[in-house]
Amino acid sequence: MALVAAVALTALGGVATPAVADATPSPGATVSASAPAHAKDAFVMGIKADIDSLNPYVGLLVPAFDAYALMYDYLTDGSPQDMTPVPSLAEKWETSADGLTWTFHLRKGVKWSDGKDLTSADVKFSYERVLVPDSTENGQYGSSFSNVTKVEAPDADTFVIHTSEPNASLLAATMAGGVPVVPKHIWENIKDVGSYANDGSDGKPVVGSGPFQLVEAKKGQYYRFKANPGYWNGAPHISELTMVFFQNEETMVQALEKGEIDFISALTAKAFNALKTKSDPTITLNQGPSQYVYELGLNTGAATVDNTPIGDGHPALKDVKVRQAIEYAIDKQTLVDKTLLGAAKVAYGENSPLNSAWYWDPPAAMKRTFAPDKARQLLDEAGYKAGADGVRVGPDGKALTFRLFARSEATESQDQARYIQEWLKEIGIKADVQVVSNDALTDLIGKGKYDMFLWDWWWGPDPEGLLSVFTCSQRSTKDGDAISGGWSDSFYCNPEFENLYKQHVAEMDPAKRKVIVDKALENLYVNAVYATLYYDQTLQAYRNDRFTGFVPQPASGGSMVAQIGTWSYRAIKPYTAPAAAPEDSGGSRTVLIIAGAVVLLLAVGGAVFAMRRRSTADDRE
Amino acid sequence: MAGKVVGAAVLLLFVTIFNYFLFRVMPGDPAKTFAPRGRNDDPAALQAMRERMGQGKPWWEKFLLYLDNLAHGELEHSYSQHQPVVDAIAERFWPTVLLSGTALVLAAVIGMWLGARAGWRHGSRFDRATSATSLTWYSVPEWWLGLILIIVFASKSGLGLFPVSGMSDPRSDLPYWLDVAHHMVLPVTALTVVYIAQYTLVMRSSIIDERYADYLAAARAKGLRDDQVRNRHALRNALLPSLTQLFLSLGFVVSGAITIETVFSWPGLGLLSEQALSGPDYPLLEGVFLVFSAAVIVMNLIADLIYPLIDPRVRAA
Repeated sequence: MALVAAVALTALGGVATPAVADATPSPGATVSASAPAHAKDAFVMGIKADIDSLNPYVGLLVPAFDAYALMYDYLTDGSPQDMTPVPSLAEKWETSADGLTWTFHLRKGVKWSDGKDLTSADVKFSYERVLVPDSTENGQYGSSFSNVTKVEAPDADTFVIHTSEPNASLLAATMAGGVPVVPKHIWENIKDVGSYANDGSDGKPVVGSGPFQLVEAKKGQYYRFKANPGYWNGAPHISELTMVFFQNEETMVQALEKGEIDFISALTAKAFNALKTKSDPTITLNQGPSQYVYELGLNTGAATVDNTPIGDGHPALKDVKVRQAIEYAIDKQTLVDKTLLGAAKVAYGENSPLNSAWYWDPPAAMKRTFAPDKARQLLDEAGYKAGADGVRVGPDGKALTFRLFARSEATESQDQARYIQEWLKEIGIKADVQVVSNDALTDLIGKGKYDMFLWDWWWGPDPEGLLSVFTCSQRSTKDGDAISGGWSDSFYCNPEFENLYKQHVAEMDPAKRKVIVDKALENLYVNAVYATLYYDQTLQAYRNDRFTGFVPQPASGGSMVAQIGTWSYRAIKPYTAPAAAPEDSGGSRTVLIIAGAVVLLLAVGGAVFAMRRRSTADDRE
Repeated sequence: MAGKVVGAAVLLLFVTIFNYFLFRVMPGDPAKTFAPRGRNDDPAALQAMRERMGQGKPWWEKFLLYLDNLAHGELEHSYSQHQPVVDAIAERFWPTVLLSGTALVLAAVIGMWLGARAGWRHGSRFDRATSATSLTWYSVPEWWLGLILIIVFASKSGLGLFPVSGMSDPRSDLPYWLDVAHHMVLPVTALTVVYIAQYTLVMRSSIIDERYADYLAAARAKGLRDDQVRNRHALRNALLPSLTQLFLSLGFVVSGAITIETVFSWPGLGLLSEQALSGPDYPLLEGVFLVFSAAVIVMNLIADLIYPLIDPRVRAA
C-alpha cells in the first residue's frame, strides 16, 4: 500500500481538497482526507526564495537542497562541528592504497517510506545515473565525478566507486547537498527526469528514507513535511516541518513577530537590524558566517583556454602591483559598516570561514589592510605617474581608468561601487561605475569585456570547487565565432597554482591536503587575483518561545538551519514555558472575526435588498 | 462579426511573434544564471546545460521550434520552475483570477453605485466627497496601500485581525475556503479601493449627461419618484460606458495585480511573472506575457461581440 500524497497542486484548493497526512504515520500509511489537526509542534519556517523544484536533479536554490536533505539520505553527512564528512547511510568507508577505489559499508535495516529495504542497489542506481554524460543528473551532481570509471554493488551492504585518478574531493560530494540516494523502484520508472515534479502531483507517492517526508506541496505557497518516526538516526522531536514562501521580507518579519512562522533563515541586514532595535524578548537573533564570499573581481588578462587574448580589459590589471594597490586602497571595514550596516565580516582569503576545515586567513604581515600610502607607493614603483587630472598614466601612456561594474539586482553593490570609486580616486585610479544586470555582466565577463566588477561566490564545504574556478581550463572557450564563458571570472592562469590544484585533488590525507589547499589559497592572495571584500553573514531570527535545541553548524556561531545535513531539524523540540500561560485561542478568535464579517456583509446585503424592495413597491403604487 | 474574430486572431499571432523576439534580444547566458555561481564547476556540464536550453542553435531554428510547440498548445520548459511553462501558468492562473476578479466585481458594483448617486446630485456634498475620495485612492499605489493595510490590520503592533501574507495557512484550523477568504480580505480591499474611482467617475459623467435629457422630463411628468427616474430610466442608458470599462478591465484581471501579489506573496501570475523576471527566465516570461496579452485581446473581442446585444444602436451603426 502506498502513501498517497494527493497533493493539491490545483492552486485553488477550494476546488481540490488539500492533501493531508495521517497523524500517526507508519510506513505504508494512507493519507486521510480530513482536515489536519493543528499540530502544536509543527515547526514553520519562512523562506525568501521559493523551492524551485522538489526533484533533486533539477532544483537549484538553497531551500530546495534543504528539502532534499529532509526527504533523502546521503552516503555521508557534514559534521555539525566543521562540516567534514561523517557517517550517514555509509557507516564507514575506506580508500585503497593507490587512492583509486572507495569502498562504502552501508548501514543495515534502513527502510524507504513505503516499507521497502534500502540496499546497495539503490545507492548504485543513484550514483550511476549521475555518471551518464550530458544528462540532467550529471549536470546537477556530476562535476566531482568526472574521473569515476564505474560504481559497483558487490553485495547488499557494500558500495564501491572506482576512479581513474585519485580524487580527494569525491567524499565531499557524497555528503548532504551532493548525490541523494533515491529509491530505484520509483525512479527507474520516471521517463523525463528533467521535468518530473516529484511532489506527488502525478498521484505517485514521494518515497524517501530521510527524517521527514513530503506530504503537501503548494508551489509559491508552502511545503509540508511530516516526521519519519522510524528514521534510523532517531525520530525527529517535531511532528511536522513546514516551509512557507514569502515574496516580501517585510511581511515575513511581521509573520514572525506575530507567531505565524517560527523561523526566518535568511534576513537582510536591514531587517536584521530592525529586529535588533526592537529587541523583542521572544525573538532570538543569530548571526554567523555564510557560504557566500563577496569580491571585487579583476580582469587579470582575459584569454580563451588556448591562450588567445579576448576582450578589452585594461592591460594595467595584468600587473600584480596594480591589483595589490587596489586592495590597499579599499577600506573594507567602512564598506561593510556603511553599505551592510556592519552585518558582514571583512575578508582577505577567498574561502568562507563557514567551511572551517578548509579556511585560510592570510597571516597579519601578508594582509593588505587599508593603506592608501602603500597603494600609492606600489603604483609609483610600477611606473604609473600622476597625470594632469590626477589620474595616473602608465608607461604605455594609458591612463588608469577602469570600468567598474555593479549589479542592478544587488543594490548594495551599487553603493559599494561609489565608495570604491572614491577610494581609488585617492590613489590616482579613475573608476567608471556602470550598473548592469547579472545576466549582462555574465556575458561581459565571459567575453573579457570588463576591468572590475562586484559579485560573490557560493563555496561548498570542499575546497575543490573554489580552487577549480581559478584554473586555466575554466577560462572561456571559442565555439566557432561565439565565445562561451567558463566559470573563471578572473582569467587567472598560473602554473604554480595549476600544480597545487592537481596535487590537492590527488592527496587523500586530509591533513596533507590542507597544507596544499592553504598554499593554493595563499597563491591566489599573493597574486591579488581578486580583492576579496567580505564574508557574508547568515542572519537568522526565531521564536525562542516556540522551539528550542537548535544545533549550529559549524559549532561556533554557525547557521541554525539550511545546513549540510539535518542536524537542527532533527534536534529541535517544542519549547515549554516554565509557567505555561494558556495558549491564546487564535483559531476561535479568527472564527469570530470571520463570523462578524459575514454578519456585516449579510446586514449590508439585506439593507440593499430591502431598499430595492421598497423602491419596486413604490413603483407599483 | 467574422472580421472582428479574424482581427483578434491576427493580433494574437502578431503578439505571439513579437513576444518571442522581445525577450530573445536580451543578452545573457541562462545556463550560467540558472546554475548558481560556485555550485556547478564543470565546464562540460555547463555546455550540456546550454544545449538543453537550446543555446547555440541558430535563432530561426529556435523560433521554428517555438512556433511548432505553440501549434501543439505547448510552451517551452521554464528555466526557473523546472516544469513546462503551461503547467506553471495553469497553477497560478486561478489564484489571480480569484483575487483580482473579486476586487474588480466589488469595485465595479460599489463604483457604479457611488457614481450614479454622485452624478444624479452633482455638485452636492455627497458628489464632491465621493469624487475627491475616489480620486485620492485612485492615485495611491496599490502596493503601498497593501503595506499600510498589513501594518494596520495584520501586524502584531497593529490590530492583528488578518494574516500578513499568503493564500492559506498550513497551520490553520479553519476550513480551507474560509481560510482563503480570510487571506483575501486585505489584498482584495487594497485593489478594490484603488479600482473604484474608474467606475465612479465614468458612471458619474454618464449620469450627468443623461440628467437633463428630455425623456427624463417625460418620466418625471408621469409622476415617478426621483430614484425611480434614476434607476429605471437614466441608469440604463448611462450604464453602457461603464460596461465597456468593465469589459476592458476584465482583460487585465490576470495581469492587474502584480504588485499586490508581490506584497502579499499571493501565489498568482503576478508573483510568477516577478519570479520569471529575476532570471530572466525567457520561456516563462514569454508564456506569462502571452497569457496577459491574449486575455486583453480575447476580452476585447468578447466586448465587441456582446455590445450589439445590449445596445441596439451599435448594431445599426
